[in-house]
Amino acid sequence: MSFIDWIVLIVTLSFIIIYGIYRSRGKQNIDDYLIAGQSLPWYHVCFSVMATQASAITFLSAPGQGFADGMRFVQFYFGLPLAMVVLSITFVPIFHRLKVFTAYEFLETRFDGRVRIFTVILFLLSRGLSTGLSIYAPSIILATILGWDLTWTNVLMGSLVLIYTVTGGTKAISHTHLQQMLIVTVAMFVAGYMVVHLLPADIGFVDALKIAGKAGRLNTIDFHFDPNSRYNIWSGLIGGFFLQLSYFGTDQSQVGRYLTGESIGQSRLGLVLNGLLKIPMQFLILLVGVLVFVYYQYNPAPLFFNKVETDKLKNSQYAAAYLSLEEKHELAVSTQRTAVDGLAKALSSKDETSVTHWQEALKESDNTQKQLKKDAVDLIKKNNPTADTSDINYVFLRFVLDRLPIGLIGLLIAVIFSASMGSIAAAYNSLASTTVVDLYKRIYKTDASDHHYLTVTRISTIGWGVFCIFVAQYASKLGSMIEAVNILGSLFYGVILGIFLVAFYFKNIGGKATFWGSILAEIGVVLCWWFDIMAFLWLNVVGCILVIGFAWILRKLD
Amino acid sequence: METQQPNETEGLPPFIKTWRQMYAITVGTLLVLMVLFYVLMKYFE
Repeated sequence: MSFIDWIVLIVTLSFIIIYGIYRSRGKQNIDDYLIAGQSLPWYHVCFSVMATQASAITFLSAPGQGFADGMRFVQFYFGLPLAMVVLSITFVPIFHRLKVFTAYEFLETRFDGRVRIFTVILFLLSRGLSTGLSIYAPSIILATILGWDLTWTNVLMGSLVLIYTVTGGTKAISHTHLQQMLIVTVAMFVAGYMVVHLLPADIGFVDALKIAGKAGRLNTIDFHFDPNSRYNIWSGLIGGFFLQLSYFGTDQSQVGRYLTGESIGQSRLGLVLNGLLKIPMQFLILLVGVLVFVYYQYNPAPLFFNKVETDKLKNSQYAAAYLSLEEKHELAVSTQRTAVDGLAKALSSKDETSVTHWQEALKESDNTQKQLKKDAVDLIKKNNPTADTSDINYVFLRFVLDRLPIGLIGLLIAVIFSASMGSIAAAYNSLASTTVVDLYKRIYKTDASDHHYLTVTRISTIGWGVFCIFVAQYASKLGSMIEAVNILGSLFYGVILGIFLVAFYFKNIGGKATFWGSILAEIGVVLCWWFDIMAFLWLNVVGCILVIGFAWILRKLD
Repeated sequence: METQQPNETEGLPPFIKTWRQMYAITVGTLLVLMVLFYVLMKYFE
């Protein structure tokens, strides 16, 4: 990175931190610290929940996904608007009326302390570990591609947010979320514009879409039902609905955001608008990736984007085999260039026979390159079994560093940090508030002063920050556990959602039936995952249905 | 715990009279987006 990029990065991040501290200055009580005194308008709620959901990986991985796999990932978000409607009707009014700090307080009012504590433990376990990974995932990519030290990148990524999260609490988080979303949106639009600008002079935006469409990258809708396929309209609408409902309805990192709304109406509007804006936003991020794909049809793409791993390979016993793959790749790239030029000409002359011919040639070249990439991955794994071979995470950042002008590189690195800070800050805050409200205040010290709880929450925030950085530090040593932690959310979210749905909609089911029903359901979900019966998104549906089913059968226990 | 009665129209954007209408617009927008995505896919396919 150049000196100017460093300046842009440092100024952007400093601005976010200082602004967060400045907007939350003044005396605070525990209400202000945990739920911003329920004083924020709808747009704060809307952008805060969006910034909490969008992690750094969203901006690193999603364009890579668009590049390699097209637009079909957008279907994952189709259940979101429906989930926002259900949340607004059911969850929001109840949480607001009961004036709770955390979602889990409601469970004790409805059932008993046992169900509340069980749910809190599931939440702390899954959120604590996944936040560690949220720090590690972008850090490993930045450290690899920029040559930074991984330990210090983890520490920087995890500790910068602590500055304003500890001092300013929820209000600081909400104000910085607004800035972060603004920076992220502007930067992604500029990146999209720059990709089109870098295409050959005779290829405009619509031409790029035509080429992407012919190459099968505008695959936004898939009606084919397959429970083992992650992204189709059914898994998005049904599985996505349950996942988003459980995430937004029962995960304190999100509940804590919309509890800041100054009224039920403001919280509702913020959530509903989040449901409306999220899909177009995700569409645009994927589209940037698709445009990068078109860019690489005219310019040679590397066989593998993670240069550090290929450099290691070139200095290993597999060097000759890799160089042979690179030669075949160069040949495929040259065929691809001929095909894309032919396709562009055929499209402008509207010669359908020629279009079909060059489209087939382009797809064949694409398949050849995918196969060569698979062969390269096999070699990388042989050379280094712990190597990071998920190349799609490196596509966008490699493009940014190689092709974008000075200044914009710093801005896009700042976007990755900003997105990461947004989700990590909300996670720290939720972990600390749940620890203090649902465990410390509930079990250990029930009648301390407001100031005491405020101090303990601040200490707890630092404690969770250190824990999550520690998890990030050891994430690389977890090996295959990383995959397990990635699907951790789906293992627990469905069960937690089931508990809440029983609480809301099944008035004749009591605490004992729900407690044992949820334990049986959790065992069922773990078994489904263990025997690899379905794609992980469906575990949310199964977990939820099992809790309701078991609790219904056991309802006579109460 | 203290309870709070909601003002049923509070928070609604201009020209929308009830939350039911707002939810219908949300679901309608989702349908429109899906149709637009499908048309986009078919048009450039």
